[in-house]
Amino acid sequence: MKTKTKTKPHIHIMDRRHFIIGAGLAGGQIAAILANAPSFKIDTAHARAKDYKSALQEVLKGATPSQELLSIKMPEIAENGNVVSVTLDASAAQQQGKNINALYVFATENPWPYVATFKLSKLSGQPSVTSRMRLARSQKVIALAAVDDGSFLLAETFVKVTIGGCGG
Amino acid sequence: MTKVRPKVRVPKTAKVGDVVKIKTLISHRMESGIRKDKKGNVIPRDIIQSFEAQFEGEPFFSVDMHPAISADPYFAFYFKVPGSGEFTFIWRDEKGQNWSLKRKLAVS
Repeated sequence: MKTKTKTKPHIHIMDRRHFIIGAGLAGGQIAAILANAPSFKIDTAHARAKDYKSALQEVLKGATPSQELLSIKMPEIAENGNVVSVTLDASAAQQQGKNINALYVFATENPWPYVATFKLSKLSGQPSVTSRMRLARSQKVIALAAVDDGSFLLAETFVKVTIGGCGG
Repeated sequence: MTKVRPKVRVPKTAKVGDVVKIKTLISHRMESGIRKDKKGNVIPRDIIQSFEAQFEGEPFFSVDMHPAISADPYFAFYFKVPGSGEFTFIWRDEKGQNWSLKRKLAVS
């Protein structure tokens, strides 16, 4: 019987690289990294609060966010915590006449919960952004949207991580 | 270390008032500073900390990044076309190095 030629799997170069990083971590290093993370001293001014509640408060400054009009889309299960797709969308708020100034992402169980801030403007067209983030382990991810009237919107999702991402 | 290379995808033409999608990617390892090498030494932190998209010199979208952004930071976002002009995309790392790209948009 003729053996079928194996078709070369089409792997995007980035995925391959992340796979290598992920595989390296799986080899026992991940436990050491996670064990070390909480005691690691942050040495730049850019770093923020270490627990997500105070990170959230840095943005909210006492305001109570309403849990509506904002969505956070992430996979339910992430095989590789190094690269997890995340989409924030506040289009529903825009349709109700709310202008969004900024979108925030917080990973509640990462060594550094503050992931990123996306600043928008009138030229942004649609208050929606997609990026890729690291997750150290299975956890809740929280999104915030800052409305130009000073109020905030909040959305959250839970992601189960099979192999944790390196770092915060 | 691999070379840092930015890439963007924007439409070349659009109509005034269109909302267009912009995709950007920069090849960068985004070393978090808490990983260790095989000998147990901490791999020094090296991350891109900001990204900014400008149209005709006016910033309209920016990102503050922290170590939880994956290697090769990717962003997809939107832009409402006010007319013809030129985009500038700028990435900056924590050491003050920066990389930029320009793209023209023509209104049809």
